[in-house]
Amino acid sequence: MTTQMPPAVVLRNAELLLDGSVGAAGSSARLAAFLARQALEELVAERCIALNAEAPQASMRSRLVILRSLDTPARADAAAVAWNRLSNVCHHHAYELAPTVAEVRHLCGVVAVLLESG
Amino acid sequence: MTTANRDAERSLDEVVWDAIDEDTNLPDAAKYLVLAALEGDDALSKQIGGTEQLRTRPETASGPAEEPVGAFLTSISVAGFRGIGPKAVLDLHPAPGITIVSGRNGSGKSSFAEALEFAVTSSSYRWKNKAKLWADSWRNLHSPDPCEVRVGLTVEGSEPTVVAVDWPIGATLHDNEAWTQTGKQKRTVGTDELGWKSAVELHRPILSYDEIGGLVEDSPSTLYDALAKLLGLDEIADAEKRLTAALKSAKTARQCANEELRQLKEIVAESADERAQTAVTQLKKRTHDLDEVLALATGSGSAVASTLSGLRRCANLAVPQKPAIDMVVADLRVAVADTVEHAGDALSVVEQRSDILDRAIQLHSETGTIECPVCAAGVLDDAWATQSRTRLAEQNSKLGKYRKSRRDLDNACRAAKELLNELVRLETVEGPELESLIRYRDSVAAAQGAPTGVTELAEHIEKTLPAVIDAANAVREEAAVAIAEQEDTWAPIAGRLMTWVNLERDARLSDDTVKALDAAKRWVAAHAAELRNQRLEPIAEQAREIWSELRQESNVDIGSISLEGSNTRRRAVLKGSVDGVPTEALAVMSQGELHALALALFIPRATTPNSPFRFIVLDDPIQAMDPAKIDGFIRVLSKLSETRQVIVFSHDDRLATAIRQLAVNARLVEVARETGSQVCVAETLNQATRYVDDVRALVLDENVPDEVKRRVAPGLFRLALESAAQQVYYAKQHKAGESRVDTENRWTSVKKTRAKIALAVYGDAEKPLSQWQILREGRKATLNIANAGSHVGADMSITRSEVNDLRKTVDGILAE
Repeated sequence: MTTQMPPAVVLRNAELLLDGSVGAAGSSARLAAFLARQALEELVAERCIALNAEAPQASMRSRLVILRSLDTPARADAAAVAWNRLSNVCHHHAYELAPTVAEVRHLCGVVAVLLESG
Repeated sequence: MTTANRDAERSLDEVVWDAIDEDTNLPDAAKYLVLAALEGDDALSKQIGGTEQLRTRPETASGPAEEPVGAFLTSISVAGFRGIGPKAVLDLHPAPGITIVSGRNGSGKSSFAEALEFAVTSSSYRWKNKAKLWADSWRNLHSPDPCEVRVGLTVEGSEPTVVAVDWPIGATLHDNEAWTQTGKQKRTVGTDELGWKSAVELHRPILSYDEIGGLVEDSPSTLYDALAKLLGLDEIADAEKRLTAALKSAKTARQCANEELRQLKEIVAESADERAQTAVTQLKKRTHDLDEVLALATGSGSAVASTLSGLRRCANLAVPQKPAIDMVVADLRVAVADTVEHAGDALSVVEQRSDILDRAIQLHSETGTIECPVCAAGVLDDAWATQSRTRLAEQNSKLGKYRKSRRDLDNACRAAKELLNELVRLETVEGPELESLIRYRDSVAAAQGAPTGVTELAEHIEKTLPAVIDAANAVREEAAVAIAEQEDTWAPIAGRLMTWVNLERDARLSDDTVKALDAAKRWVAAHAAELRNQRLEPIAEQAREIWSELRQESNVDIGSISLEGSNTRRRAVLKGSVDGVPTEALAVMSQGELHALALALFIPRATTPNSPFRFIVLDDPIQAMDPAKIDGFIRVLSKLSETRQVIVFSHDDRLATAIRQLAVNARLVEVARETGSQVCVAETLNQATRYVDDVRALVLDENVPDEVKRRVAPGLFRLALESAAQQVYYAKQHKAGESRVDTENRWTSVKKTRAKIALAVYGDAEKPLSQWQILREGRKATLNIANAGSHVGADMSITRSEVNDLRKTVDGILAE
């Protein structure tokens, strides 16, 4: 786990991967999605702590509900949308195409909402 | 959005009035024609016919435009139509918010959309075209009867309204009975009562996938036409067409006249007739004197040609007739004989003697018997006097007879000479030669060369005049024939001349109309482009806003949108840029981008403030969108759903899944189709119950500390209760026809959860909830949790049972 690395750095790495400036040709989108999801999970955990509702073992669903109740609607929405989408992207689906670079870049942007004023 | 809109919302009439008022070069007659042409065929023909002259600008409401009363959908009930067999009802929430109706392909969801579209827009042009494809398959195969559509609506300031279509057994699609009923009032035929006819065309609250897609994927003219229709621009095109047609028909009079003139010029140029030459000169003039031409044609007035007058004189030649001549000759002969008889006496001697005798008798009567002063031998006595008087009387009688015969002879001579002198001398006639004319002239000359002797005169007359009569007869006949010949060639030309004069008169009457029509047509053509783009600009601006949400990762930027060309060359031009390089946007866009663009173009129209429709229905809008665009699309929908009832039919669950993640006021409805076209509709997500589900998930998660649960739960309880209360309150208000704006204001002015529930349950925020609280178990506890501050948290553990209470309470509110 790269939990020691700050989420902003993780997200930045994901974006660099998408830009093609670091290795991994071909599946960069999916790799970046993994990184973005890690950053997102870390950010959500940080938000929970900031909101004085720390629940280290709780499921992501529960944490998103905590944000829904205690955080702003914009952050709650961004976290929920991004996590749902990224989780989808991070699994292999028989009937869905691999995510495009553009799509993952868009999701990184959604995750970045949580970075702001965070 | 709203300021830009106002201009687009001004009626076309107003915009045109403004433009016309500014234009000082356009004559009034042409201005009126432009306005009449915009109004319609009847108005235009009346304006041309002159039965309607002045047009005055209609009064326009000043001040900020008021929003019209709005309508929300409460339900769509369908039976025996398309994919729906037995009656199925899609209940809708009559308030702003999003409803996603999802279902597999063929589940019947599109049948709801189509039924709605048909009921609301059945009279529209588009539907008639679509019906062709549909002719055989619109009625449900499994259960064709009853076949009906009922659309429930709430209308601001009015009771709930039903728009319905019934099809009797065996009826065709358009052979239906459509009616509208407000509250319990009498049903009225069609939807006219709602006054939606033009609004449906203008705002198009129902947009389907194939329609949207077709707009941008087909030819550029399709997009042009669709935009033109939405902007009310085809009114301009229609006006132009009307003017063109009117101009064409008004020009026919002038064209006929000119064509006739052209032919006429040829005809008269070829004709040998002298009048034709005059006609040539007449017709050559720049401005024709129609009266003169007409006189020439009819042969009246000064225009009669000399040839013809000469011939006419010949034809009317008058000579003495035989009886008259015989009488003159006889008189002459008698007079001559008389004179000869009396001339034997020495007339003058007799006269002198009579004179002397007369005087002697007079002397004697004065003096009595006296010596004769003449001979001095005799005596003039009484006997002499008596004898002399007798003699004198005899001599005087003889003398009188003589004098009379001399007078008679003179008279007879004069008559004879007059007879000869009166013979008409004919000049040589121009044109056709008359053979007998010379003979006539010779005979007249012979007749007039009369001898001096009186005795020979009678003989001379008897000898020469028959020749004159004979020749004159010949001249008359010949002249008559010549005249007839000339008339035969002239008559058709005269006829044509008269025809032309009549045509030219008509043409002159219509010349002013043609001039005015031409000016009107030019004006419309010149201003059409300007009017088009002026009306398009606000739409284009909103489209760019929406596009900026939808485009997401698209590298296509949209600049100006304009409508160019006309007729077969008409097209919508979207200027844009790809990564900063200018280009025509349509050409470089992908299918999905085109689709998003079409939505961006058409959503603004459906949601302009003056639309009476508070709902917008989108049938499968996201088919070709990738996930990033769906996010943008949802943002667009969320924004719309703040003020509009947004209903989206979707065949996949991507939209539903995405919407579940957001805190927008959304409801998810699933449509499923079973055998025999039995269609079931089930609500799978309500925003209120979604919050309940969130709490449940949290509570069931054993890894969340109890303390966190207590802190988090109150906020979600509040969201769940308030969401349910809001839905109920809005629906109640709208069904009662209350003002939408008032409803919103009252709702937002109430802050406390308790008061909001009171508003929903009793319609009165002040009313205490104690009665309602004790009606069901758990309501009081639920409200207490909801009222706990999120900093402190609930004063009790939140468990499964509290969540169940919340669920029951929410259901209880929703059932109000």
